Amino acid sequence: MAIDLTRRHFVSGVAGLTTASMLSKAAFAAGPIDIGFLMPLTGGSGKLGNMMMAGASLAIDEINSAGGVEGRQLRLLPEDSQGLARNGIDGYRKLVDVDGARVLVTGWTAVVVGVAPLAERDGVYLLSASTASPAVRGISPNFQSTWMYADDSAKQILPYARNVLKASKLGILTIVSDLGTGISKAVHKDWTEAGGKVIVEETHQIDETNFRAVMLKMIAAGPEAIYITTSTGKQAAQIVRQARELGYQGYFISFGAFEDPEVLSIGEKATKCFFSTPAFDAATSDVNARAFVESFKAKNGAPPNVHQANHYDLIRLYAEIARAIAKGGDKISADNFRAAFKAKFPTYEGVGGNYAFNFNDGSVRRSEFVKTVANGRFVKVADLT
Amino acid sequence: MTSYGLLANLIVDGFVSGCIYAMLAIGFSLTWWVSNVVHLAHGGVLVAAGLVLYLFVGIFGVPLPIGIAAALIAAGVLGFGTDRLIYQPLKERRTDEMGMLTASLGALIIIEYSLVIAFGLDGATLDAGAMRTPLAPSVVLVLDPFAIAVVVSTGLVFAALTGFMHFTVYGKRIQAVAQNPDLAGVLGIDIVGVARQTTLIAAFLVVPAASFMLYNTGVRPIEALHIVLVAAIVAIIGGRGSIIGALVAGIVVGVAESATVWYLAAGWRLLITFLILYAVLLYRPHGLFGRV
Repeated sequence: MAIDLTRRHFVSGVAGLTTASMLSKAAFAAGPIDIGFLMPLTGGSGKLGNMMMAGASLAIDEINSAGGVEGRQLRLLPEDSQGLARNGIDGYRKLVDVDGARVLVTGWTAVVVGVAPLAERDGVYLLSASTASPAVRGISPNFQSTWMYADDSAKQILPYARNVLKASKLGILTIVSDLGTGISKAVHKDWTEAGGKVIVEETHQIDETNFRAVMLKMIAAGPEAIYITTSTGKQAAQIVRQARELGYQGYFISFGAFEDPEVLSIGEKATKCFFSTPAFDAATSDVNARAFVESFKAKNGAPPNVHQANHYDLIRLYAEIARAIAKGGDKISADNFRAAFKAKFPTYEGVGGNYAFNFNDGSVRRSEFVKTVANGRFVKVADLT
Repeated sequence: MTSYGLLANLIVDGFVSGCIYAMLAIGFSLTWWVSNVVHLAHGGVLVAAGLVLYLFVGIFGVPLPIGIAAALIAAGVLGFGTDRLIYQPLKERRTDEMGMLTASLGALIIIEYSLVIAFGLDGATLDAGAMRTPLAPSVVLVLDPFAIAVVVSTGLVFAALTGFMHFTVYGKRIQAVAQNPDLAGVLGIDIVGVARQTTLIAAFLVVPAASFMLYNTGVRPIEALHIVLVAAIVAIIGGRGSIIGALVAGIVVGVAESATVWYLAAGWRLLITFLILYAVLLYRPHGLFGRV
């Protein structure tokens, strides 16, 4: 079949295409800005992932009710990774290929390791407020963490354990994972350099629930403090509870992941546990942080924790960067996002304290607290600088 | 604590863990022996019993005996239901062993996922409180009222089961069906009924193990397959259907796993279990107390 293409047909066709394209651009400009939220929403880490989403959602609500980003509303697109690489990659494909998100909030080492190469190839920028493993340090120029890597965080608590808790003999209980071994190496090195002695090191599997035998072995060595490297609150609670049942009276020290409601569920046994965590305190007197706490309580019926503060800050930071891009008349892409982030926000002050970003390796330095458990709550006991 | 003091503690702790292994294995072993079914759903029944106990004691706050009664009912319903709805219809259709195994795995998955929906993935743990206070911390750190309760309960369960099997007509029928089902049928024994009774007994037998696990390491739905794997290993080592075999094998595995920590990193514990299994299969393929 031959098509008789006249000049009139051609001109009207081009005009139609141009109009359609302009309408589409206008529609795009007025539409919401999508932020992918690729996090565990079910599975072993689902509770924590949902908890984090509550912080992110509050920031979205507040930004949108204040007029959005240059008139555009923010929209959070949750995808469940279960903290697993395969599910993470599936969720990434959906967010990027189907929904067209160019910036994703993600977390958990396996997921970040799985999607970072894809993000670099596809021109997608990854932000994380929940990846503590030093294994992702420098993984991609398209990845930036707002949560301190555990080896950095571990270094923060050690001087406190040496100088304030007066511990000298340390035991290290390492979870068999990249996170665990990374922390363990950093703790061993820094503790020894600080004049302490690592007298016992043991490992446990990622899904272990019975720690009695391994704790017996560690207790027999007589450590004054035991550093636990698990990033699961339930496992941390099991370790502490079973060690206390065996009569261990010494300190437990750990990092931010320790701040999990599961730890509080073991009651008095959780005393003498100390951990470093980003500088967020729900009892703060800081005006901005206080406003966040009150808004969060009004929406969720309970005060926020550090993970919720981190994700609140992350979305706020995202909105600021997106605003800077929009003011420059550009659209959001990984390159624009990275450039605006570097230029405008090498540091950031949020409700979770001060952030100083290292764009060379995707890490961050944050002001931190030492917290402990007292009266069934996580309580700040010292500032770390 | 001296090195040998540590070893003594590890052995005592392993003995207690071994008692729990024995209790979770004996029901699996009996079902395997009598019904010729590799009852993988056994792990799901155990987790369900533990979570029902948690629901009643931990959430509703009822006294422990009432919680245990609820767990027994839940385990019985699940065990009986699995037999009635899955195993028996397939047996009537002369499904082969692989088909039964697959069906059992399917039953396990159904139970596991139902528990995840009902209770969540995190599972549950209850605090044993003062039961976990060491009785003589300067001598044996791990000896506490909880450990004694585990050992005493195991002794009672195994003694009662032995008595039931050898001194009651129901027990003798079970033995008859297990040893020669054709002859038992000719003698007028209701083979289907005996298989059903055995599945029910096996279901009830998970409750002590589930209870102690709940107060010790906790129970999680996703552990169901791991639990039945331990049960299967203990049952194979002990010998199919052997009560004393399950007890001895459970304790051997528990002690060996725990004692391994004395000279190896804790991560190697499972290795010793499989080494024992391999050695038994090599030299006593029917298990330590199994009958050829």
